[in-house]
Amino acid sequence: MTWLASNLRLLGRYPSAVAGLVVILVLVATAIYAVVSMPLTEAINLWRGGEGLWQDTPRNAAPAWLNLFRREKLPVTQVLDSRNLPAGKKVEDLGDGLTEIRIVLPFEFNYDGFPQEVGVFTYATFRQARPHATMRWVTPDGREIPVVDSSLRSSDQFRLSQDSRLTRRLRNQPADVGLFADPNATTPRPLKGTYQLVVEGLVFEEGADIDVKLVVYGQLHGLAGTDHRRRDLMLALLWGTPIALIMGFVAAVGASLSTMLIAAIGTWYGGWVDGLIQRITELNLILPVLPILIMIGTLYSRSLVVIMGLFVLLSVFSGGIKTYRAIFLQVKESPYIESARSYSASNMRIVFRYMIPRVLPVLIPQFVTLIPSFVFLEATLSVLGLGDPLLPTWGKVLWEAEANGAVFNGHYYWILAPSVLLLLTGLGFSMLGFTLDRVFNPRLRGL
Amino acid sequence: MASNGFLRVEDLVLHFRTGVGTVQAVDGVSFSLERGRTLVIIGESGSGKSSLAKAILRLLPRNVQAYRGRVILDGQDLMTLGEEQFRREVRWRKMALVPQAAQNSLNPVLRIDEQVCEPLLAHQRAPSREAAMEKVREAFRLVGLPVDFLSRYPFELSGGMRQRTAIAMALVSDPSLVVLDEPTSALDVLTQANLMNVFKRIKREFGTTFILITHDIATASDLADDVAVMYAGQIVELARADRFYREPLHPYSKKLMSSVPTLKQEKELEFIPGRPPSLINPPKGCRFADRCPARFDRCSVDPPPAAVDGRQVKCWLYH
Amino acid sequence: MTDDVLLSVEDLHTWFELRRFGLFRVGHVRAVDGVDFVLHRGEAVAVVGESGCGKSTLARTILGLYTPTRGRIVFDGTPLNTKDERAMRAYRAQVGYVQQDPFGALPPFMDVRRILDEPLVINGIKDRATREARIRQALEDVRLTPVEDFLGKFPHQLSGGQQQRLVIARAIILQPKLIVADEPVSMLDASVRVEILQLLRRLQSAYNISILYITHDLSTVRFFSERIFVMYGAKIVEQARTRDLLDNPQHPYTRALLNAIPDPDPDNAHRFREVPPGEPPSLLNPPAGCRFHPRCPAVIPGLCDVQAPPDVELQQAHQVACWLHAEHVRQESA
Repeated sequence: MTWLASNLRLLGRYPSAVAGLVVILVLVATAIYAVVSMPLTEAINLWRGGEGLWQDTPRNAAPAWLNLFRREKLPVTQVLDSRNLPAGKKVEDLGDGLTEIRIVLPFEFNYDGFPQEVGVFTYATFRQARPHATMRWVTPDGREIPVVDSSLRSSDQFRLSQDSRLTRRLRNQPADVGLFADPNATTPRPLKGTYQLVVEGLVFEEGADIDVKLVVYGQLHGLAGTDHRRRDLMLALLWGTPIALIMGFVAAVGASLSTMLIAAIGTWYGGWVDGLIQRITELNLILPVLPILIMIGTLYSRSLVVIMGLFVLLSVFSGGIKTYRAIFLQVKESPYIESARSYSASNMRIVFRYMIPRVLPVLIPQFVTLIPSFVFLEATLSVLGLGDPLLPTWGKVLWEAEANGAVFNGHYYWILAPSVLLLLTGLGFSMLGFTLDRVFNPRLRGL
Repeated sequence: MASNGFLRVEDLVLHFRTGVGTVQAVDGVSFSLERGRTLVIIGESGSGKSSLAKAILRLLPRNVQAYRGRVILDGQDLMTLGEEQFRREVRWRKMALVPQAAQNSLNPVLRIDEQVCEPLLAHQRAPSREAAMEKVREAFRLVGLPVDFLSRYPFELSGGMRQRTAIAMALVSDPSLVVLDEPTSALDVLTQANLMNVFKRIKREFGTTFILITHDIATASDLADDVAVMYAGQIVELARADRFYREPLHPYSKKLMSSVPTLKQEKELEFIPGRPPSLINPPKGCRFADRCPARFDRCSVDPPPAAVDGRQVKCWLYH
Repeated sequence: MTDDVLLSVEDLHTWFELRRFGLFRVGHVRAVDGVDFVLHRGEAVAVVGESGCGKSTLARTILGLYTPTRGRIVFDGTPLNTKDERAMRAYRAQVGYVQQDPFGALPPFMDVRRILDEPLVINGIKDRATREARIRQALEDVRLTPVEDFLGKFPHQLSGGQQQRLVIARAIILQPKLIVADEPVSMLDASVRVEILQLLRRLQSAYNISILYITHDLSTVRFFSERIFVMYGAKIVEQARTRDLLDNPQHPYTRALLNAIPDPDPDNAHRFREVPPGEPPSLLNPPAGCRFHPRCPAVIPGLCDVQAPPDVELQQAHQVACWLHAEHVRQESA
């Protein structure tokens, strides 16, 4: 093992290897973080979406850090929940079974742009009699605008931006503009300052309660933005990392090891075994892999395991067999192999303990550069729409982005984030792999 | 030794830069060789003898750290020539090299005649292809190869024949000096003897000057007029062959001679314990000191060559 | 004496099939084509010949790496059954192999201890303490001491001479009765060759091991072996005690060989050597009759090119396969 270790120490001298290693470590750290912070089943659930799961996020919002580069700051989503702000809630018993619940939700709005949407969500607990609530919007300059006057179900949504009556009341400006516009400005501009949503609710039963959540949807949201289904892209990007890495690694390991073993056995036994393996390989080289995968994906199953398993199988009998065979044939003629036969080493022992260690220096760089190609394959299949239907992967994000016109609508972040991650993966592993090749290969000349 | 020889090398130095340090392969080599004589440079592996051949012919790799000294061929200091001038006028015109394992240095995809006439056509020494081929046929006759081998490929020839082809390639442009680096080491005894006969014939007919580099003292005696013994990048003994073989002076030469088995006489064989020093950080004093049976306190300083009886020996014992 | 005979080789042939396109049988390379000899216990015998004469194939056949096409090998009184794998394993453990290329003969990724451990493990020595003791003993035998310093080293950390000593240690670790050494010193420096040959000699006398020393370098043979076999064209053309062969060679090829080897003598530069013309014969299509006849200065036309000469026993355990000495036999039977 020290022989391997001393070779690896040489790696430290190549800046590209160190850079590649750093990138890989960052990706691995991200993957670990993703796995630790949220179990897979929950991630899949969240990603599937559905009502209520992504209530608090805007649709197609760009990443929040873009504000760092803008002179005119765009609003970021703000969520104010009375359940988290007990100080803003006052309960007053009015007698006769009537209880008034007064909730004030204040927030600062100092942005130069209007929010995307405004929504109010209510949560009421009661037995039979539905509570009633009136809500008033208080602007920083003291104007009060009534926005909601309604009875409440156990959970209710008031999408103020889609409320046509409110829009008309606001002089044909939708709520996200009308509630924020500076009345004195000639061009539409939001008024900066502290806004308040004042809720006056009435409950008619003992123990009934009302809670209100105000969501001011920003134009920007989170670290990676959101997609058309309001899902925070960070989820897919984060969880895509371990999926990509594990899949790439497992597939690459499986494929490399299998290829090498088959080449070793074929070369050692020679004769018809070798001939058969070579013919299978040649046949396999002619087969068009991607169309076959597409066919299987369309007609049979799109499960990631099935597709990747199939791909690994198809790539085992790849051109790599010819490379390994060339090396094994050379190694087979080495004097030390002959001496091993002279002290009666068995065929299997020779293959595993005498030939394969010689070949590992070739295997390792090949295997490292194989990892990103499997990652890319998954992305390719996903982009073509054949990705696994459940898992949140980078390729999936790209497919949905393309299907929902991300480019046409200017949601560049949607495409760029997963692309950059794919790029980094490819770059990181390739840089490391190519340098490994350079380090290990001079040794091979001694074959 | 006459100091106005046909080839004079003065203080030749060639150092290589490697990942682990500077290899001082040739470290101040001086000798002189008269026209028509053969100098044999005897050295074991690690003595720097192949680097000396390359240094004389300026076939330098990319990691050269130091390359200086004087190489005076027929009155002209070759070190003052530029690279292009050297290539055009000297290399393969005045001097040629038959490298080590030359039988493996033939291009496997070209026919023999194509390869052997290449030096002529590349250096424009022949007016036409026909003239070049005529010279090639002559060279083949010289080395004793049948001319119908010219239309074959290297793999169809045996090792000995390929070696002779490489020699023909060196001779085809009529060089006045030919450097042979281990020309017979991978060959059978009979083939070796044959080749030595070829060299002897060329010497006799054309008066070519040879430098033969080898580790094999016995085979060297077939051609040697002068002998230089190389150890750790330096020449430790320089003498005429008859004097050297009858009585080597330097302790290393003596030990070398006694480690060579002989057929015709009984002798007690000795070997030299230890290893030659690394060329990367050679010892400061005499480089043979730690293996020398006659070592004494002066040997901690590198001895200059002593002149003894028309010979040179680099040893304090003779000062 | 038949009970001090360790190895007896009778009419040994080792042929290799040559096929074109993997299918059509074109012919046979007859690398060993009728070899008979006897090797005594504790005796060192040199097999001398040029490249292509079949000596390496002979060595490998005796090692059990190639299966003989015809003939038999009798080792320590028991004929070798090449079909019985267990018997072959037991046989190979009795024959050690020292190869030409010291570095190539050692797996570069194993350290010294592991290299020496492998033959022991493979041949069923399960007890670790025994293996450790044998490894130490082998290293001491080849003078790679102090042993602790060497156990953890890898081949590339050793010099050429040390590597070859390790190869020898591996060859003797199973306590063989015979060592086959194929050009053991030809890739080493001149000053190291003597060391290695002396080591082999010492092991030979200390453990009464027989040595089959294959070489093309006759000059080392004088002080190394008791007898010499000269091989040419896949056959043994002359067998004799060393002294006899070197002082009194009988076969024209042996004579040419001895003549071609120079001693370090400055007078060599002044005379041409007599060398037989031509090339060694093809083993695929050997010449008819005596294989040396196309190059022989004493060829008898009509005889040497028609019929292969028999082995003729001269005095003092000196055998020659040459019509020059068998004339009387042929004339008698005519």
